[in-house]
Amino acid sequence: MEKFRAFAEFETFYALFKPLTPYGRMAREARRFYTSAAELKAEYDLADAAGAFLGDSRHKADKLRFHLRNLPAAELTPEALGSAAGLFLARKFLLNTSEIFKLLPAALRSKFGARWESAALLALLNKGGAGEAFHLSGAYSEELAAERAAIAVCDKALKGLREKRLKALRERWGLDFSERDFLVVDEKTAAKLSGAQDLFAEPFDGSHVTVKPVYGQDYMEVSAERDRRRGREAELEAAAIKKLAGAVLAEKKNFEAYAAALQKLDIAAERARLAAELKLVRPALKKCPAPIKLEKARFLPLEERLRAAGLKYTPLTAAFSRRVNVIYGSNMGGKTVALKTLAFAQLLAQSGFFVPASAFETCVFAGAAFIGGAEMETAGGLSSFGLEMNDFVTAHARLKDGSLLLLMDEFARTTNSEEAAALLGAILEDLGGNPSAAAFLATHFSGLKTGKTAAAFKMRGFDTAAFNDYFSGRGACGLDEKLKMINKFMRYELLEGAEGEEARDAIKIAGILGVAKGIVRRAREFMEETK
Amino acid sequence: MDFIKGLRDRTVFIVGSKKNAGKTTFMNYALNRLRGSAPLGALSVGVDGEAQDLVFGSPKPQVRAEKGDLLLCAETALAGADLHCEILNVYPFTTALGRPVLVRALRPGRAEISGPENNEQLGEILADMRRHGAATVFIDGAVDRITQAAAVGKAAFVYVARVEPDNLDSSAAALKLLWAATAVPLCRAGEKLPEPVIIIDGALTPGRIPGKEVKRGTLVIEDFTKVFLGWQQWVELSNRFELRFGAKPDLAAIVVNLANVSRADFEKKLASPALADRITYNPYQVTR
Repeated sequence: MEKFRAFAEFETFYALFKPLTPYGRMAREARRFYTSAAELKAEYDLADAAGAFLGDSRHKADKLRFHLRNLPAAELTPEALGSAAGLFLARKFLLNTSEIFKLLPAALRSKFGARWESAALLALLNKGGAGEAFHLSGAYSEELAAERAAIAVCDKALKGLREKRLKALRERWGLDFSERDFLVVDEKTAAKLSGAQDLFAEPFDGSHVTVKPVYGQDYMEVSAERDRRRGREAELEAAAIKKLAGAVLAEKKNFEAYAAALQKLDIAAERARLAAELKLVRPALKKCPAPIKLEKARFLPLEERLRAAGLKYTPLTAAFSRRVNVIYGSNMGGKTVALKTLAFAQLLAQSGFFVPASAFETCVFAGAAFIGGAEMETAGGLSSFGLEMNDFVTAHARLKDGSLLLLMDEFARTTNSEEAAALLGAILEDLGGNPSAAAFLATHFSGLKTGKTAAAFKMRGFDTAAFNDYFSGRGACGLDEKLKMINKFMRYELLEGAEGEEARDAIKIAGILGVAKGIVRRAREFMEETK
Repeated sequence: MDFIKGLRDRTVFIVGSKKNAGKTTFMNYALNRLRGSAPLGALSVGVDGEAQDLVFGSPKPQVRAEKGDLLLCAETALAGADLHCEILNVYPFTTALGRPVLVRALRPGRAEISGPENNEQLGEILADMRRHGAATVFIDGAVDRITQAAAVGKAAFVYVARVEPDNLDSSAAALKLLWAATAVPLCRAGEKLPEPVIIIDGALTPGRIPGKEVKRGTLVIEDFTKVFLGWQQWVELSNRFELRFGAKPDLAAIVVNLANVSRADFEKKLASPALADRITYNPYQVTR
């Protein structure tokens, strides 16, 4: 599957898929490939419903995204809830969940399984909350409130005593500690201060002394009283935390149901956002085996690259009514891109997304495999040919497990053409006889024996007449210019019924790319001789 | 220390020459000076693991918060804190001390502040602090984390050093480098610069200095915090190249605590009256 994803450049699209909640991000990481049409239909329905809601009111859409973004992961273990921070997160989760559920109309709540059951728990947690903030308020315990009031009295007394002592130090020694906890004085000054009961002195360096205020017995007594009350306050806070954690844990099932609903909503809203922004359409799913139809399907990664390079992009329109299909075409004629477009659309569809096309009709496969692009790879000592055969054996074995979408790009290109053509013919025949297989082979070998079950297609190829008309007297310079020229005159259209037709654009393309005129002319002569 | 008034409403990084340079002590002092109508914020970057502030011997560098102050504390440190506070956010990042928690003090108390582990998290926390009303935000920088100072737009930094006989030369060299770097201009769009223009992405270490065959040109460095060179290497570099920074945090002040070193001896090492003029010496010392 990873090779299939890589071939389809799926990550380029997936990077745009950014769920807002931790639950949505978890689902994203799972990279689920749906193999049930019913499940996919349900996912599409949710995306449609979310899209309709988001498109209806910009204000509500913004509000929904705000609350989804603010939703934390609620950890529902006694350890996680054993602190004010854990309770803060539980409350924040409930607060945002409640706001999100309020935003959704009843029909949408029902679709996402959003049932609010925690009004009492949220009200309890709100006793310690205002807006986003939460603290263990005195409302949870009268004793806690009383201790805090007593601590406030201590703080007031300590402040008064401190100010009194600082005033006395200023008046007696001329030392101002009002903004500093300590002062550094030279030895001479320190000598004058020696014996002062209201100052604590210690060496700073060889010639200076650090002095700090000594606040006196009354200050120490109030401070000790405060410490004692702070200890009691901590005990009461721990008791309040335990009680609140118990109340949260009692609703664990509700939290789990909310998380599941919010995950669905987050994913559906994000899929809907992508559908709107990238102009995606809902795929039509048929029971396998069924024809695959693409109408103006766009391979987004290439579309974007061409747009950036100022080149034209041609969407793919094709109807594959048979299970086994061979796509012929010249070099740079778009065979691989046609395969990639199909892979991209199918992968998006089976990952729960809508598809960049004006229409996409397909069936749901149990698996997908790609063989090709291995010319530089070796694995376990296998050559690229060996690797391809190994991949084919693995893919072929998967046919026993259910329907498989198998894409092969320039299969067996590295061996001699005679044997390659024979091998390909046999493979296509075999796949044609296996109802679990839906195979697409792109090749530049012409005239393959594909059997009666396979359909042949051809990329329309280079428009020589238009090229000659345009090119007369002009010289191309630089690779960019050459690529632009190929892009301009290559017709990236898929034509049906091309079995046995040979692709004859390679010499033209070589010429455009700068191969010497003499070589190109001689190549044409050789072609004439072999006819 | 009149420069402190100029720190109001800014994001101020307090960075030090080494551990126990007196950064937290300075921060507490600055917090005291700036308390007023708007809440103050405090957090740290990096975990020093320092148990004591050796400059002034306080047992642990804790922030003394007043009601309304915004602090970032580690979840674990908050459990035993003296502070009564309300929680404004719990961040999903994991640090060595647990999740960072943004709190607002509901009464005076002391707390150990903590910080995020990267600049992106720092940005999110600072935005949250501002959203909750923080005007001036202090960031207690750990040793060698001055790099963080450049991550925030319009940031100022205060450099705090403790100079002793043992580190007299290295402290003077570090300050000279800091001072020289503040004189390097910002790279401006459209500016005509001597060729070749070499852009250094990330840290400028001795290994990334262009070879001797490049005799002149312009070196564009992201910001001062990416300079990891000694004083001599910097001098050699500035002789060969025109230097430019992509960003420049504002150096608000240099605070130097001299211990067993005289001001005259230190300034002799600095050999720069202009630099010496910018230094605030021994801010806790009583002069009579």
